[in-house]
Amino acid sequence: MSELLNSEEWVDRYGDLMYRFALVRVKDQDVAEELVQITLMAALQSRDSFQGRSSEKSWLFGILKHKILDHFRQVRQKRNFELEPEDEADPYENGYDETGHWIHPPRRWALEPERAAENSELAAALARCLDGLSEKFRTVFVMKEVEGLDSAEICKALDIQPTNLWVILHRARNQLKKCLEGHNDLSKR
Amino acid sequence: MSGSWLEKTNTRLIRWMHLSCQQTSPLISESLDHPLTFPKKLRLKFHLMMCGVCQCYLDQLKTLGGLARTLGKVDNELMDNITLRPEFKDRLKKTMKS
Repeated sequence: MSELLNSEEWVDRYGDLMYRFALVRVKDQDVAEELVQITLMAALQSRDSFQGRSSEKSWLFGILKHKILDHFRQVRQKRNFELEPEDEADPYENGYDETGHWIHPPRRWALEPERAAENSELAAALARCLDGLSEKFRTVFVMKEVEGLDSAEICKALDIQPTNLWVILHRARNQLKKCLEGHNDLSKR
Repeated sequence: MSGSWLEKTNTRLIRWMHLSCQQTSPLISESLDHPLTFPKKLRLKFHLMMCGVCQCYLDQLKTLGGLARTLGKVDNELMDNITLRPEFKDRLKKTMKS
């Protein structure tokens, strides 16, 4: 089935798409480039195993996804992903009164959850907000919400306790929510 | 006697069911990550039924998740201006040929 693959065109046809796909996940441009390279080299070496059950594009992105996950595992070997005192606090930690009620209650956003996929400008704003997170918080959020991995898989890959995962995700979501809050598309109704 | 027993049980149940918004917000986030245990789910639902503000917070987190998924798509058109460096592309093509 390898005749279905045209590896000479991979870089021109998929290179930029793969680079963007990787960059959203890993932030660092050099790492994203390296991921594109090791993916295409791995694909080249295993092209004979391509069964033609999926398209060339899906097959290549499937390999890229694995390489990104491997990258996260390697990052885990270099640094601790457990929650530490110096990690970002919850930005709404002091946002409640003594009875536990919101001091500044969240105001309804102009964008309903089911229409979130249609607003590309806000998604781009989220990409900028993501870069404001620490590597630890960014990686965990990306694995969960961008990549759509389940919690058990993330805990295993990063070797963290589920309770720590939930705290990190809660704080990361609140940081991102706060960062997006001022965007026009969320306040106009 | 039975009335007061019932009252006490009711009071205890309502106290147990009651969560403040501060206790609820991490639970809302957690509910997006894995299925909650039955008691947690019950208490969360009870709070959300009565608290429009926390319901709004839940919707915001869901919107955030939706935006993140949009960002993660293969054919992400949001960053069309971001491309591989031409010299990197050339180098990669040469490496793949050799």
